[in-house]
Amino acid sequence: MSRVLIPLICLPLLTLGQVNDKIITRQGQVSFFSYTSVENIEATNNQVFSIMDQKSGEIAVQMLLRAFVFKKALMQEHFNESYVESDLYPKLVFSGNMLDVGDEPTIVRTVKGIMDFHGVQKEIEIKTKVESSSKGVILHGEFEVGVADFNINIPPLLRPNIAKAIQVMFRFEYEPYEE
Amino acid sequence: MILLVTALSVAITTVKAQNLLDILDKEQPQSDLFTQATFKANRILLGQSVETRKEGTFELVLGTRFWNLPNNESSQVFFADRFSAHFGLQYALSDRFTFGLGVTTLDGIFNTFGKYRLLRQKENDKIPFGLTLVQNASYFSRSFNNFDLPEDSSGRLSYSTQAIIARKFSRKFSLQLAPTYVHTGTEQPASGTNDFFSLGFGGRYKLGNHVSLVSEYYSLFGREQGSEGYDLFTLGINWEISDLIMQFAMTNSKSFDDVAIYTLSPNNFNFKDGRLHIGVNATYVIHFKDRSKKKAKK
Repeated sequence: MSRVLIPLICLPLLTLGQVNDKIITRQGQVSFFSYTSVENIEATNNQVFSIMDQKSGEIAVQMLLRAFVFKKALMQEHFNESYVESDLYPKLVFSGNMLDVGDEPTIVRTVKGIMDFHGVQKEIEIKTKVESSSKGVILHGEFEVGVADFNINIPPLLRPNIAKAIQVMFRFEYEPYEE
Repeated sequence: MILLVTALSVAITTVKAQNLLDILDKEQPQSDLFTQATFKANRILLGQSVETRKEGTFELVLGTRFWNLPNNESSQVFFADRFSAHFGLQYALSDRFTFGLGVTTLDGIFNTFGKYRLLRQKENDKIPFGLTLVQNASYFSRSFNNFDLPEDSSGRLSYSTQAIIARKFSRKFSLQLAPTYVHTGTEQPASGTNDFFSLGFGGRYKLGNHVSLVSEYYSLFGREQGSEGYDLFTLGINWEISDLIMQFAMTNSKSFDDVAIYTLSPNNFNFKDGRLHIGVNATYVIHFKDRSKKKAKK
């Protein structure tokens, strides 16, 4: 009886211990830039949520599109109402895996996953720098996103104002996750 | 006992295996955002809308109106017999308060208004509608059409006060109700009274991402509809292009300010006999405040 019981009791304890492998950030930063000869557009979101399982390398990112702050208030309204349609698709979600998980600090790794944005799911690959900090891990880097890939309509009149490829920069400073 | 422990261990392992995204969903605070773009500009077409601009936003307004004279088929004038233009400036001192000035060519009316946004609708419906208060003053500087300029200058000032209640019902459809009180300097349009009450309705239906269909109707009480003027009606299109908003309007009013449009429309809305007035209001928006810097300082 006890031979059966002990492992059974230990099993949940073991799995509980693994919760500490998760690290989270609630104030991740994501900025995007569109540079054209007509107009430069940039916006920053300082309230990006991301969680990562250090053992398995799984990563999830979630942000509200309404939390992007633009220089111009009207541009922010247009972005939400007419381009990303944040009333229909309020969130941008990414879930993926970090390939080649390891322990060495300050190294470039690849994250492969699915970005769910504006009703389109697309597989993307992002290179990220990994640094360790006193609290945990910092991921930062940049990549490009094609406007056309995510079904965002730009009226012909404004096509010169908006770049075809948007540069995205991110910085996530993780800390241990406790439930 | 064994069953219980097994159930427990299974439960805990499923919690462990729970999708990381579910955790983020739990972590993300509930949205408490204001509904945006109930209407797209300070005015729906002619009348005020519930919207105000964000702090530090400056607007230049250029309005035009064209119409024909009735029974004037022999006219040699190209396109339209009569033309009026409006020039206006608007500035948002805060996210809630907007101030505006304007002047119109045909009727020579100088107008000024202050707009205060008392309540803003929230997306989670904690506040289900928006409420904006508007106070307007119009100074009449000449006689025109059916308006006679009074001799004493005190009679040349008229006022209107509005409480605008609006709700964005869906991403495409917004509606507003605007009880309006008008105090005129002279007993015009109706003799025997200087006080009028009007109930305004305004609506927006989004046709595309940058284009919406808008309409307004203001029913004025306290005068005889017909001989003493007609109710304001507008129908048009709002089109947003980056920093520019174009408002194409068909209406029965010749004016632009917040007194004459409600009280002095000389005919009803009609496509015939020079009763149709068409025009475009172009609003150019200039931002004097960098909102991204404000956030960074905090």
